[in-house]
Amino acid sequence: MRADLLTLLLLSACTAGHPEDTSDWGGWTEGFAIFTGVSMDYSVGSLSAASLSDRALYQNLTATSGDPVVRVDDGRVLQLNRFGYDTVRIYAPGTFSRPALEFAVGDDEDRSTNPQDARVCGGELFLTLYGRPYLPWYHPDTGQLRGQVDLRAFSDGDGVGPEASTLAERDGTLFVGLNRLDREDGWSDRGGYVVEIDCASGAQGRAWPLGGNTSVWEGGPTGVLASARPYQGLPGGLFAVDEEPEPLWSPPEGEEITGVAADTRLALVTTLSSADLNTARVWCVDLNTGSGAVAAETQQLLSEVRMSPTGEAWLTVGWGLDGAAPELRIYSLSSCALVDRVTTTLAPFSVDFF
Amino acid sequence: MDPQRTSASLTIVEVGPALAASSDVAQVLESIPGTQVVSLGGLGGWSAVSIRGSTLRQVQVYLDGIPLNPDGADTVNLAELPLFAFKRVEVWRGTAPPAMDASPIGGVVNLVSADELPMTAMASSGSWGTHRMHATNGGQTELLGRPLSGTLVAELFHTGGGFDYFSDSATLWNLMDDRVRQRENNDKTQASAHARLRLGDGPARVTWMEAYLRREEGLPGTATHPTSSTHMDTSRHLSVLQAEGRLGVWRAEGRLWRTDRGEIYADPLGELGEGPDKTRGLTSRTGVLASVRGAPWPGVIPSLTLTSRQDRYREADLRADAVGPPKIRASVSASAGADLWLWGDRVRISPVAQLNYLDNQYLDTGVAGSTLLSLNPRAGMLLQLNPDWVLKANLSRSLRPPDFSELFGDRGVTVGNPDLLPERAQTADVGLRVEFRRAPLGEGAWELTGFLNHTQDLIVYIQNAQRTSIPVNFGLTRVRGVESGLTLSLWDRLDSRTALTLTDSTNLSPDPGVYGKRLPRLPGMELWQSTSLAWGKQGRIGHTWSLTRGNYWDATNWYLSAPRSLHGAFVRATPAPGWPSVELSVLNLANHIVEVIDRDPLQPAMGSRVAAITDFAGYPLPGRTAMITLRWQGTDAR
Repeated sequence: MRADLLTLLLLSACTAGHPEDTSDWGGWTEGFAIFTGVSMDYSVGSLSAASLSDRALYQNLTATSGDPVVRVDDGRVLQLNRFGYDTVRIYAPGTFSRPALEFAVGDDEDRSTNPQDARVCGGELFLTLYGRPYLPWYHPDTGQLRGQVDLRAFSDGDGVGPEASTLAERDGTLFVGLNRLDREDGWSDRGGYVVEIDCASGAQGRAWPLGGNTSVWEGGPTGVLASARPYQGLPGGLFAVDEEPEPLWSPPEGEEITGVAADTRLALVTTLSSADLNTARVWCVDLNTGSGAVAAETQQLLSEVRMSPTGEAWLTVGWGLDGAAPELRIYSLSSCALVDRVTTTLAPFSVDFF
Repeated sequence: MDPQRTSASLTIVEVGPALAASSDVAQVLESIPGTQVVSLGGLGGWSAVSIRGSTLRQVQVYLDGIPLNPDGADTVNLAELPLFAFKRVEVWRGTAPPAMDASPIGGVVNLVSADELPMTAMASSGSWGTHRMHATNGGQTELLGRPLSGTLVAELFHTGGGFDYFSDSATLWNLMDDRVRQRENNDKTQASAHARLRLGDGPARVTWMEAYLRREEGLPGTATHPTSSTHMDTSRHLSVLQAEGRLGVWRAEGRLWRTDRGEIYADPLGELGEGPDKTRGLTSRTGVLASVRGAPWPGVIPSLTLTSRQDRYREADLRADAVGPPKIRASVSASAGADLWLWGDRVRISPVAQLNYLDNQYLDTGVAGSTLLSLNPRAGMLLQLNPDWVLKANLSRSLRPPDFSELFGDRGVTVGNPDLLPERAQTADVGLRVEFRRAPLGEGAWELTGFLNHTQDLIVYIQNAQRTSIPVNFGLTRVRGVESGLTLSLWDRLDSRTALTLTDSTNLSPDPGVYGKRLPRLPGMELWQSTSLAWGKQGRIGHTWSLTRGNYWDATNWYLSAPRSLHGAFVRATPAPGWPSVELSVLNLANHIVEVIDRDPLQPAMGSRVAAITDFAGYPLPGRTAMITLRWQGTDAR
């Protein structure tokens, strides 16, 4: 039985039917998903691309660390190397042979800064640092540190910082999701925040307390969504960020939102069972009615889901406990249907589009 | 044990004057064919050994026959084993003798202490604030009309570990931030003592042994992510009571032993983990062994070994003052074997059947335990072509059961998987060994062995959530190779040891990213050569050379280490008989701390870059390291 499964897996890996030789990469500057992949042991990673039109796959264009995230913003591909690497590479879309800029975001402290997310806003490159109580911004062409937002007011008591994680932008304003997990107490919740930052001045604006592990996502009726898990009376679920966070949908008790890809009306939401930390679900959510339907259930890591310019939700899927191979799954947001799957050699970890 | 009389691939290295004072167990193991040693860097730094492409846990390490990591429950840090406390190092590649109650996939390393010890004292001092003091003594008297002998070995070791290394700040394209840094938080302090009392001699004797170790060390992190305060304290205690006797044609042995190991890991700033951490792990193992071996019939030497062991592990979160539930494993095994001498003692056939039973329990929780019953047969054959030439062949089935952390999880970082199967392997080897003694020329031995290992159900970790991983049976590997060793001791002046290992490894895991690739950190070619030349008892000069090629850092085979050639040397002089000797030894003579590799392994056309020399990616190895040693010996017993 196991031998059959292994054979099946190998065959599936060999019959993806897409070019894998990086020399095939044509330097295209639009119409592609760019995604990071990681090896099973997280020792290496890479940047790869897949065509939005025919799903043609161009794997392993350039090597990254084993903890890589990718974002595309302001005509730049921003590649972050997270825990223990603490570096940023900036590529011109289509040109992945070498970065236009690479710089380290460590400081004099030994603990990792652990960059998580990046946005170019108001001409500056903003980074969230999971291991620091501040949010720095850099010149995106030189890597020069230009300033930083002090987040110590939102400290969760562990002295490390409020775990700034995700970023979303709306009309020159950045929204930051603060996880606020107390590392001194086993990463326990202290209730999260969404914090508003003016990109032009770097000044902090409003802040909204939410439940635990708060994250922000672009999309929804107001352009910015937030998710959280319930914490000591603070609400959990999915919210539209407006004057006040407006509840849109909540997963069943025992499930926590781990990713959101949304347009103004519909969202594809991934959740993880808090009980076994293995069972993940894909939900199709109508943001207008607050109704949700399960599109899939899996025991594979669903690390990220993002909306493509063509209105599809791309989901990065890691290894399964049963040996299921990693892949990109592409959902139609309008029909909640899985429309394509792209098998990859490394496990897709983070995805964006140019 | 005579390698010329056993079918097993056995190499024995005597700990003697041919070794430099800067030698350690890791270096001795590196000099043996078929072994691969990896280190996190520097004298006294963590190191471990793989045999014939095994994982580090698939090698079991014994101290005078007592297992330090039974069933591959841990990786043994070789730096915790003071080389000069032992008389010899035995390495069993592939198969282990039945008396060791082991069927490891890689093999066994057994450190054997001396029956008698002279009074000696040794003091060393050298680079990076490294100091070592070592003393031995032994004596003999009578008790109840029987000889009573005792030995004592004590050693103190300290290193600041602040060697220089190259750091590119993890920016592979940006050269502006490249620099040479000094290793911080890399200090190690270790005290060890090894005492033995033996009543009786010959076939009937009772032995009591105590070994103690205390080690404090900084855990320096990787080159790009160094730490300042992460720390580990380790203590280990081993106690053994052993009785041996003879009844007619039978020789019997009984042994009662216990090991206790405590580890306190402190990461107050969350430098290595993602949060502050302070935990204490206590492992205790109690075992009993009974074996009998005899020669009831001509040419037939049967043996039976029965063992029982209980392992107990308990972890405490010292920050929360919370103690976790105990994890308990009970093990029972029986090994029945025989040595059959045929054809006028020219052929020896050694079949062994080993039955293992394991019972894992996780007390005070709802997690189900698991049991494992396995039969691991093996057989060896020795064919004596003439008094000097022997052919050997071995076939075995072996396993490594999942350990506590794999079954039940660990500190919230890993989620346990009670359904894990043991790692299993089929191994085979065929070899030739030639031994010669020609007076006055000297003596020597040459061995050439081909081996094949096929391992399945290897346990690997898969990330299942943002901060947790779960172990699954996913790995499948094939390792084949040729190993050759040549030892020479000529004219009472020249000692030479050469080991060459050629390995062809293939990862057969159903992971398209690694399928068909070579196993990481397993060089395609590894050569060791050491030669020392003595002139009487007045002096000795020696040289070591280690060469490795075809060593990939990672399972995807993207990062290929450059060929590495490291030289060492020592010179020792004793002004006059009875005087202490003085020795200067140097490791990494050429101060080789960087290598040139592809800048981007996926784009070879993009040129090359400079990287630190490492065994594990990110952990730099030190450059030139010098040690001055004064060594005094009271009598010439060793």
